Amino acid sequence: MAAMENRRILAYSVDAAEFPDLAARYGVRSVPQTVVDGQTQVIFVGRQPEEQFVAELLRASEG
Amino acid sequence: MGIISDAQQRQIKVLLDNHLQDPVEVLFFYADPHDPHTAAMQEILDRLGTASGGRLRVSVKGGREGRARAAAYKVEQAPALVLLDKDGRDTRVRFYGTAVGYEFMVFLEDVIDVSRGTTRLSEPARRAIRAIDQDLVIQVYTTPT
Repeated sequence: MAAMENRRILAYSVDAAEFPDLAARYGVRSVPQTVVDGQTQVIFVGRQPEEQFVAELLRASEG
Repeated sequence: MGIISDAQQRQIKVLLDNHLQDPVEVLFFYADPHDPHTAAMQEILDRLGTASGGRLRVSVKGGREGRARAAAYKVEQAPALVLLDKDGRDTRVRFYGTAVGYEFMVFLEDVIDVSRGTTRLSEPARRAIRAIDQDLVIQVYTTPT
């Protein structure tokens, strides 16, 4: 959804079982796991409330 | 019975009838036409296209031309789905893998958002996200169940 609000954001939903190599690259052990790459990389596990999710995006963008 | 039963297709049709507005185009990129994942994804998209009454248009891309198009959309894995809006504009939303189970529901929600030209985010969240002035790549890892 965030990608639809800002064209500087690209969003991928990845089936970890179908792409185990990709999942291993980011150390995915439980799902959902979200990886945000920006000025810095932010990783979090589990579904976050909207406010927390936005805070994680801002953290990744600000470095 | 296929991946989507007739009963499920009827439920999906009701959902799409109630929520779809503008047409949405789905680009489906595959690597191997004989891969069972390719056939499964094709079946799901065919069913959705029928349930949507033609408002969900599917373009299937494979082979050399598919790889070139995929690269243009920064798609590096297959099977993959890319959502385009009614004007063919890239929504920058991609799915890697056969969209079944949990991912299927997320896919349907995103199709509806693209069709309606809006998201379910609150206004404060929208404002904060629109103000981001750095490139971000979000990857959400899920499993089918």
